[in-house]
Amino acid sequence: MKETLLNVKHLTLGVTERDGSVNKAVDDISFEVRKGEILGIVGESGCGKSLTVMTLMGLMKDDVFVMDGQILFGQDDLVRVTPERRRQINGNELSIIYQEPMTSLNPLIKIGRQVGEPLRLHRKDLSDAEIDRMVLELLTEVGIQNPGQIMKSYPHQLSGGMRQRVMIAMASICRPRILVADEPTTALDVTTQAHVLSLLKRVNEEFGTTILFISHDLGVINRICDRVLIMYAGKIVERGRTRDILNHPAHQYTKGLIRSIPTRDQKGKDLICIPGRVPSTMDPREPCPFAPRCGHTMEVCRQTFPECRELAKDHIVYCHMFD
Amino acid sequence: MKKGTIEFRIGFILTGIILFLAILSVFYTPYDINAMDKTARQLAPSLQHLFGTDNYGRDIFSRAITGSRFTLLVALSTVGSCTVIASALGLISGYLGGPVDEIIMRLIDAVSSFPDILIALIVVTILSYGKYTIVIALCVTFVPSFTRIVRTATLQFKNAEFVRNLRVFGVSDLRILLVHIFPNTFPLLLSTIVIGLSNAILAEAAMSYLGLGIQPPTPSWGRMLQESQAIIYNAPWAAIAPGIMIVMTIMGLNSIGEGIRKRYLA
Amino acid sequence: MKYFIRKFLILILTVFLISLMTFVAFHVIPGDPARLILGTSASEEAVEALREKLGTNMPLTVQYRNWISGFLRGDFGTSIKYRMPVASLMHDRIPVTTLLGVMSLVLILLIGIPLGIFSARVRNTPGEHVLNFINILGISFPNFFLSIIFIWIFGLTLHWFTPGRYISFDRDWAGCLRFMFWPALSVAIPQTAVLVKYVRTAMLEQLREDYVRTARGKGVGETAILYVHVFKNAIVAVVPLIGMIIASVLSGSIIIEQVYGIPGIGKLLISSVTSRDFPLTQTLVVYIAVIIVVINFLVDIVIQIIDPRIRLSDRS
Repeated sequence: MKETLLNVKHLTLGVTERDGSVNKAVDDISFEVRKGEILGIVGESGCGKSLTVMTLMGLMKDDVFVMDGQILFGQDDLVRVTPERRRQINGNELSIIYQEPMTSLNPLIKIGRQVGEPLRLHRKDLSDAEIDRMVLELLTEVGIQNPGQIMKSYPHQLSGGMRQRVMIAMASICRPRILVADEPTTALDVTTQAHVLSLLKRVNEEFGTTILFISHDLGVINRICDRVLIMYAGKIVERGRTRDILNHPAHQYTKGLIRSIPTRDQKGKDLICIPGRVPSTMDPREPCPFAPRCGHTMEVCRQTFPECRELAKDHIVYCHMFD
Repeated sequence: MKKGTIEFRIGFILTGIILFLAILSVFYTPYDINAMDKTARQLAPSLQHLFGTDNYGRDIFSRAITGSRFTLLVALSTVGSCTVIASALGLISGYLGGPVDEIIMRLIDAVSSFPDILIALIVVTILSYGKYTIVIALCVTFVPSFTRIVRTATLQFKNAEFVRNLRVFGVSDLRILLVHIFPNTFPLLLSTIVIGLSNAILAEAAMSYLGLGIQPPTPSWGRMLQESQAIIYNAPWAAIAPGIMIVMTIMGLNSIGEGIRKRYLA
Repeated sequence: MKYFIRKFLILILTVFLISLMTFVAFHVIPGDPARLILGTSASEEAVEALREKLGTNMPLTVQYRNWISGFLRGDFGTSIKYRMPVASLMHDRIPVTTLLGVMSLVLILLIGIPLGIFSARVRNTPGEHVLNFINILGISFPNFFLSIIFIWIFGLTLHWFTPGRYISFDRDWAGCLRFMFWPALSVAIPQTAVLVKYVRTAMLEQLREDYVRTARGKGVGETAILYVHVFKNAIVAVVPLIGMIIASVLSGSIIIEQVYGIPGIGKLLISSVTSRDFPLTQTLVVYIAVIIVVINFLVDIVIQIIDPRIRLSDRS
């Protein structure tokens, strides 16, 4: 088994609502990220997947706070690092790309400078010329046609796909150990999506960068991830190798997700969807959060959250049906 | 504590004091506001004369609180008439759209390309001084910004789901406009009115300072400041009393405006 | 380029509207200016003679055409009070008001921008409340009251300048600047408070943008985020408001020139209003309004130049 790079233990995140009350948006989740893999986190919007990675990066909004748990990364617990240490880690050992490549780049700073900024911050020994050379090289590697000209351009002059390539270059220029990709293809059209996915795959293979890939789309996850976590309403409900999960889903929610991927043989039929809706953080939560929408709810589902069950090697589910 | 509470508290205390003094001046002033007294010129503040006396021996406290009454009256009638005119223009312009909107907005744009004080000066020049000149002058000045705000709010609600539903049910345009859209513009309109009041008071004081606002012998803060300038070295209280009252009023109104913005609009 | 042409055409149209509205205001609403100027006791002959002189006995369209063509030739009419061409009255006063305006603007920018950034920096600390209070105080002080206080404290008590004694720039430039500092400061303080609020709001808004999150993700420190990433964007957001601030500076100087006895355009305007000198008032009003419209036009162009987003989207 590969070495563990990052270990999330019992992470619980609270969100302070406008009226001052606190809701658990992420409830006692644990998982590890293994060196060299691409790990996917899937779930509907609001399930806590973005909050989790933002906490990993120390980029939570003011109303989010860690109630409990640890995120172990090397010698550090990322939940408790000092601001100085956080600045040393971010961009250097951990980096992130976002869903909105349009707004995630500074509109008034030239591309070359923005891509080179992590080097300028973390490799103080490099000269400006060396940095420029490395930026140029990397931009070529991420598939930008005329990197020299792009370096002198501003973000608005680039297409969405180009901007996401620039973001990837910026995030990988210091060769970080983990790159977090928060729905990086959601805002892109299908062709560009494919290009960006294969680029991330290459970054993973050629640079050996571990990738934590967030998406709500199992189809996208299937194309890139080695392992996947399924999250529902602040809980991890199933995790395992992507192939195992897709071929032998155990949790009712995972089954629902897979059924709702439109496929060719369903052409002309109604789209399948999971009945009910994602509970809002304001709703009273059942011990198993999926109980209200699950077709197989039992008495015990409304009493305790299920223990973890290992169905096969590396395939784990949290569901009372397997008790 | 709810948002904006501190602002409301400060605002209501400051404007409350001014309002109380203004109302008090209707029933009681320690001295006749126009009574001159050669033996009591430029007296420093004391128990007899709370804010001292001016160059003619007139009691500054009596004049300042009476002045607040006239200044507030001018400000209230300005903003009141302006709100009525601007609400009508803004609602019509926003709801009807098309050429009517275009004409109203172009006129508004043209008027607002003049700075406020120029508009006031033009109106004062062509109307010759009278009791209501200053009110008309300031009203013309404020109509453009008020109209724009009501129009924007109207546009925003005109396309709202609930208004479209009303139209499906066959509710008349006038009813939609007055019963369903207009009340929704209140919070924004209210904060505009409060800020408008403070601007009107500043503008009135400036015009009176220039001798183009409230005419003597009626006292006003701006006029008192202008008269105090010649004796500022010997009798600084003659300037400080009306000046501080202006500052208190403006601060009070701006605080209330900020409070409304924080609580209802943010 | 298309943008500039469109903006320029709008500028011409606005100037035309300003002249037309001023003309209409002065000629249609008040009735007979000659009668107004001379009063009710004047003889019919005298009034008729003045009408002839002012040209008010001609049809309005002809009067407007004459007025505008005069304007274009640099003939701004004749002042009734001073019995002089308006142009030569303005000639000496324009530089005075320009100096006052420029000094005020420099003070506003010099104090307002750093203070705005600072107040964004101290957000969520006690310092924020102190700055907020000073800011509210600054906005609430009428500039003429502030001037009177300055005259009392710095002029009459401390003798740092002699109130009421304007020193011309040509005679003693240092003395002139020393004197003009106080009126400029009086004009500047309320506007500085306004600018601080704008800069602060713009900085705080920019801090919520996604690119700030990106910068934090790269490990950029708080200071560099403020000065390298946010500042430029905030300034671009504030520049459009500079036109408004300049307009307020001009409005403010109209009153302040009166308070300090500075022989500029503003003082001339007030004296023309008080003495019902219609030709003079009319010209000065149009002059000031046009200056402000032109400044706003220039600000628009500056925005084009400094913001690469607009600059390039126009080109493509």
